[in-house]
Order: sequence, then structure tokens, then C-alpha cells
Amino acid sequence: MTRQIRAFIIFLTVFVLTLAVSCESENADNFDWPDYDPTPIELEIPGGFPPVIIPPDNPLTKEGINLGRKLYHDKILHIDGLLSCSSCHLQEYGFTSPGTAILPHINLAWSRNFMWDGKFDMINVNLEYVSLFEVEDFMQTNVSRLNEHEHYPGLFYEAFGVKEITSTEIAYALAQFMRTQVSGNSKYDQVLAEGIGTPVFTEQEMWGYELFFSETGDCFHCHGNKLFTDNKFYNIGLDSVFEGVNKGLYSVTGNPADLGKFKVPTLRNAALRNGFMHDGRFKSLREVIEHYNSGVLNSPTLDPVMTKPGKEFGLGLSADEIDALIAFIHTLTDEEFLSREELGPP
Amino acid sequence: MRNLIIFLPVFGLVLLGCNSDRNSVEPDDSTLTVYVSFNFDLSHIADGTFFTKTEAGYPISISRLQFYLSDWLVERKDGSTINSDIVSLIDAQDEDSRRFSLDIEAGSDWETMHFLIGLPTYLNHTNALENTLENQNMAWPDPMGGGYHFLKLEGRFMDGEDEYGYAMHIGTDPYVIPVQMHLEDKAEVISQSGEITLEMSIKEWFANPHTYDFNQDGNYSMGDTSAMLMLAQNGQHVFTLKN
Ligand code: HEC
Ligand code: HEC
Repeated sequence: MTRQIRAFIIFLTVFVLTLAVSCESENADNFDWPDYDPTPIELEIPGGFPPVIIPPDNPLTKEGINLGRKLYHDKILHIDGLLSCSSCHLQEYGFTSPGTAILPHINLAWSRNFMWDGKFDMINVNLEYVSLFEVEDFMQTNVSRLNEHEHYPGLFYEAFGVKEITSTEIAYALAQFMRTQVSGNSKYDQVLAEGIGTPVFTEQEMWGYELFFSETGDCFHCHGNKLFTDNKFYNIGLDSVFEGVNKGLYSVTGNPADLGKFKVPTLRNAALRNGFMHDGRFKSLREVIEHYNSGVLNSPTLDPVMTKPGKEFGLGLSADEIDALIAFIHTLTDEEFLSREELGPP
Repeated sequence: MRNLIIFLPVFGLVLLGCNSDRNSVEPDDSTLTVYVSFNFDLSHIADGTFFTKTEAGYPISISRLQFYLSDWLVERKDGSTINSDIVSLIDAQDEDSRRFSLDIEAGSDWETMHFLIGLPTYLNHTNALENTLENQNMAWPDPMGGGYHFLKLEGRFMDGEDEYGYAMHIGTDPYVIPVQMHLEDKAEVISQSGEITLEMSIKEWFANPHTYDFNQDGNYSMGDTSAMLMLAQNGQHVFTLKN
């Protein structure tokens, strides 16, 4: 072995040792760890919403939620530091971006299916699982950046009692925060609450409500319940030939009976959007309803409730009825949610 | 052995934890277990095959089959009765939902069993059932009278070369479906096994007493009172005892 090489090996060894020792001392020994005693938090559930199932290994805590909030709004999660979750999931639009097919983060605490095409072909997918995907595969988070950060190690310790941060704790914190993105205080909710001083529908909104929740508009079969999504997948007749991104659930399951089926998105805060459906093909609520009204295409997987006697291509609503449906969907906008401070950047 | 001793209680706990969000009571030794089966291969619900033909001659597939069973009443040979107010939401695609327990003990002196496909009036109003996503998804909206869908049977049918959807939905009090089952010599077997198997025949929904024709009677029944009446009357014959 030549001298140079030997010197180099010694140098390397010393270097690695120094690194190891310095990391140790920073992150384990001399680091002033705070207390690990997280404060449990009870999720506030709006009236009439079904109960939320929270995984027993990730209970909501004040520390976990606060950490999740910080991470959600921090570009540190992105491999090149270019994006935070909130770069695409913007609060003022219901945690989506206008003109895109970015799925909103609204009441995901109740969600049992994620992504337009279902993506994860397994049952019991939860927010922890989806967040882990976002962190590891989508953002490709460089976890050492968090471990070396001035504040994060302490915050993770307070929330999870771990001295070494991994993608799992990042995902768990994000999941906790996303469970608090609860929207249930729209005009619609207030009207239904029927208390003293609660608002009432205008005549047009009332008409829209009745159309929405009756066979005339027939929106409730899939967008019924308090969440305005039944958490399932359907083909609503946007296409009759399915290619690329339009294959939907089929691209995950490989079952021809799933061609063209997509996750039912919530209609809460949908009036703020101007890109609708899995590919953002419609630019207004009117275009969406025009589809349901006269643009439905038949195919072997078209959902059965989309065809009514004598209405092969849609509902056959009048222009006034379409206006009324649009007015009703506007009552699902929840201003308080869109500006709730605890959901914004810390 | 040690492992087994630890394993068994843990396994038991896991079992207990499984179905905590259903309405029905867990199967248990002393109470009657009801098992709901179907006269077709349930994998057809996921694969969309046209696997049978209706009485009126249309080949059909099924993509959804959900219904409530409730209001159980048993008449004994001596004329006395017992009842159970267990409500079960059956989803043909959810194995767990097809087996549930009534809070009554089976007896060899049973003569007739009565139950509803659907819900009794006192439960058929908005938010009367436990607030679960499954129950909310069965809601019959207030502008159409409130309560719950008793039945959702959906799929596609072939009309010659053409294919269309059908959605047979039943709801609202007048269309609840009373079912009556004479146990006859099977009471003994049922009481010994503690289990009763009810099999639903799909064809019966469209056959007896009314031959249901999608083109004439409608392929979408919700809110169509004459269609719902036909289906409700046919529904009285869809179950047979399979013990
Ligand atoms: C570049 C934009 C972008 C960024 C950044 C982003 N997302 Fe998304 N997100 C999307 C899009 C687009 C979808 C829908 C994708 C699909 O369905 O295939 C989505 C979907 C989701 C969903 C599923 C929602 C549902 O209803 O099923 C979750 C959960 C989610 N994102 C979480 C996150 C988290 C957590 C982060 C940060 C770690 C993040 N996203 C960052 C664009 C983004
Ligand atoms: C058979 C189920 C079903 C019915 C009935 C139904 N929808 Fe939808 N809706 C869906 C699905 C699935 C999507 C997403 C489809 C896609 O992206 O391919 C959707 C998407 C939408 C969107 C776009 C939301 C977004 O964020 O992109 C709106 C708005 C909407 N529906 C409104 C309505 C209205 C109004 C009615 C009644 C006239 C209605 N829907 C009836 C299943 C349904």
C-alpha cells in the first residue's frame, strides 16, 4: 500500500468517526431534549358527521398536530426544497389549486379511498399510508435535513418520543394535521342546524337543494351524506373509450369492470374550483352540470344510476334548474374553514 | 403451549375488535345466527358479467346489492311470540355483513318467522339509525320523504344488442317488504345448530307475482311508486330457507 493511500484511509476513518461523533453529540447526547408528554386532542366533529376512525397507533395530540401543520407548510420536505404540501394544496381554495385536478384536503379524516384512481390497491388505506407515499415517493424527503435541523428534532421528540426522525413520523404528523382539515360550517350546515339566527336558503338555493336530493337531479346517490361523497368509485360517463389517465380504477385493479371509475370528490367548497374532474377537463360548475344534463356517454361500466328512463344522455334539466343546482353548490362553501388560522402556516 | 395460551386470548380480542362498527350483535353460542346467502356467485358483482336472465328475458349483471333486514318476530307452536329489534345492513359484497346474530335463542318449538326487508316505520326517518357512513349512504333524502333506502339493487341489462343500466331502489313506509317463513320440520335443526340460512334468489325480484320489464316498468325505480310496489310485492318471495 502506498503512503498516500494509507494516509487517505486514515483520513477517511477519522472523518467518518468525527462525523459520527458530531452527529451523536448533536442529536443524542448533548441535545437538550424536551419532555415527551403529548397532550391528547379530541377532534371536533361537526353535527351529523359520522364518527371518525383514528388509528390507535397515531392518536391526535396537540404536539403532533402542530408539527404536522409546520411540516405541511414547509418546503424542507421536498428533495430540492422547492415545494411544500401547501404549494399545491392552498387553503383559500379548500387546499387545492385553481384550474388543476389536485384533490382538495377536505374532511379526509373520513376518507377510505385516496387519489382519483384509487392508486393504492388495498383495503384500509389511511392518511398515514398516503402521507408516507407523499413523503417518500412524491416529495422524496431528505430525512437527514430534518434530523440536522435546529428545531425539528425537538418537535418530533415532543410529539412522538423519538430521537431519530424517519419518514414514518413525518407521515404520522402530516396525517394528524390533515385530520383537522374539517369543513362543516358552510351556509348549508348552518341552514340545517335550524337554530335561532341561523341563515335560511334563498328560494333558488332551496330549489337547488331539492333537485340535488331528489331523483330529478339525483346527485345524492354519490354526493349524498354530510361529506358530499360516498367514498366510492364510479364511471359517470365522461368517456366511452378509456385511454391513459381516463382508465381510472382499472389502472390499479386491472379489472375491466373498473374502467373509467374515479373517486367521488367532495362537493364541499367545490364552488371555489375552476378545474373539475380527474383531468380538470371542465372549467366551471356549469360545464360539470351540463355534462350530467346532456353529455353522459354510455359504456359497459357507466354507473346504473346515470341512466333513467327516456334520459339516456343525462337529466334533461332546464336552464333555471341548472342555475338552481349551481346556487345550491355555492352554499357548501365554508368561509371559516378557508381562513381558519390553525390550518394556515404557523 | 405457552404461545398458544397467549395466542388464544389475543386472537379472541382481535375477533372482538373486527366488526365494532356494525349495527348487529356478534354471533354468540346461545343466540340465533342468521346467515344470508345468494343463489349466484358473488364474484359476479365485481366482474360485471351478465350471469342470469330476468323472467322478462333480459340478461342482467349486478354491480350493487344492499338491503336492510329488521323487525324479527318468531311465532311458537303454542301461539306465543318473541321478537328481536336487531337491524342489519347487508351488503352482498361484504362477507362480514352477511352473518349476524339476533338477540334471541333458537327453539325447536318455532313455527313461523317474520322479518322485514327494509325498516319498520319507527326507524324509517332521517338519522334514526346509528350514524355511520354506511347508513348515511343508504339515506332516502328528505325531499323524497326521508328515511333510508330499503334496497339498492343495481346493474346493467341487455336489450337485444344494447346495454343499459338499471337501479332498483325501494324506500318509504308503504313499500317495506314483509317476509314470512314457515319453519315446519326445520325448527329442530335450526335450534340445534343455532343458525339459520336465508338464501336470496335474484330472479324472484323480477318474477313473482309481477314479471318486471325494465322497458315497460322502468329501469330506475326510485320515486316511481308503481315500480316500487311491483318490486316490493315480488320481494316477499325472494328468500328461502336453506337449512
Ligand atoms: C405538485 C403539487 C402537489 C404537492 C406539492 C402535493 N400534492 Fe398532494 N396531491 C396532488 C395531486 C395532483 C393529487 C391528486 C393525485 C391523484 O389523484 O392521482 C394529490 C392528492 C393528495 C392526497 C389524496 C387526496 C384524496 O382525496 O384522495 C393527499 C392525502 C395528499 N395529496 C397529500 C399531500 C401531502 C401530505 C403533501 C405534502 C407532503 C402533498 N400532498 C403535496 C398534488 C400535490
Ligand atoms: C354515479 C355517481 C355520481 C352521481 C349520481 C353524481 N356524481 Fe358528481 N361525481 C362523481 C364522480 C365519480 C366524480 C369524479 C369523476 C371523474 O373525475 O372522472 C364526480 C365529480 C363531480 C364534480 C367535480 C368535483 C371536482 O372537484 O372535480 C362535481 C361538481 C359534481 N360531480 C357534481 C355533481 C352533481 C351536481 C350531480 C347531480 C346532478 C352529480 N355530481 C351526480 C359521481 C357522481
